[in-house]
Amino acid sequence: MGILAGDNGRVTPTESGPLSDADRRAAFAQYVEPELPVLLRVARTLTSSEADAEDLVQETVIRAYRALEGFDGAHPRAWLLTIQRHTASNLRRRTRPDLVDDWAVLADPKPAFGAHRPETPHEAVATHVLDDDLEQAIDSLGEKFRPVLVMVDVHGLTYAECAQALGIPIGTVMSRLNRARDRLRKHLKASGRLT
Amino acid sequence: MTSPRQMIECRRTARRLQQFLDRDPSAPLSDGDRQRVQAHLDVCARCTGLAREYQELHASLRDYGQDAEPTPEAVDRVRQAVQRALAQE
Repeated sequence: MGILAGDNGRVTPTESGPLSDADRRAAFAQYVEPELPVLLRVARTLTSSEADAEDLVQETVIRAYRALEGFDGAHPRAWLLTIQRHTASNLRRRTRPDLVDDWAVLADPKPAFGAHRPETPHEAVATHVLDDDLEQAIDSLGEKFRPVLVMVDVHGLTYAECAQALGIPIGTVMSRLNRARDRLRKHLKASGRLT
Repeated sequence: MTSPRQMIECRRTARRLQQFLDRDPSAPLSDGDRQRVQAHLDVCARCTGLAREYQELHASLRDYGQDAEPTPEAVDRVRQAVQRALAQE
């Protein structure tokens, strides 16, 4: 199953065969580009810096472009979130020097995933002018609960999209979300943030 | 004084309250469960207060999310980097 640009400019599923450059670009514009902001938001919860998030999304999108033949045109966000999860996992391994066995990589090194690039002043403001109390409370949830809460409540993913992004069942998303919210609710109530 | 029956209903509602408030298409409550939660909220001040707290929390997190929205510059940087990489293929 692949995808093909139709007369109306939309890209629709087709049975098989490689995509022409035009179809590939049309499919990319239709399915991938609109999801860039969501991918960046989710990437920010999977990485430790804006720079890493952008690296992750770039790599994800390039892989998606190459994999367009295998995409059936349904649920592009879920498809991209799955690619992003696998990509994040692969990129994390890149930070381990003992796994570098490709001399081409050494000759033309990319910045290591995790090596921070300084933020622009605009990004610094966007990142840090947040509610400190709320941010600390979210951070205190830890790696098990924080990503679920951030993806669903902060970034507006559905349970299913969050499950796809993290590679866990929907039921696990729901139970972690319930506990994360309950802890956050109690924390904010104790600090007088909830009435 | 809360009756044992009401306590059972409060616990039952608490288990479904977030799902009730979220209305997430991935995991909708059945019509029966939805009606039962709503009927309980109509008569229970404690559970209504809990629901209000979750709604306030949700609103705070949504506002926080608007602040954390990726900048247009970040989206554009990614788009350009991808185009450069693909142009070399």
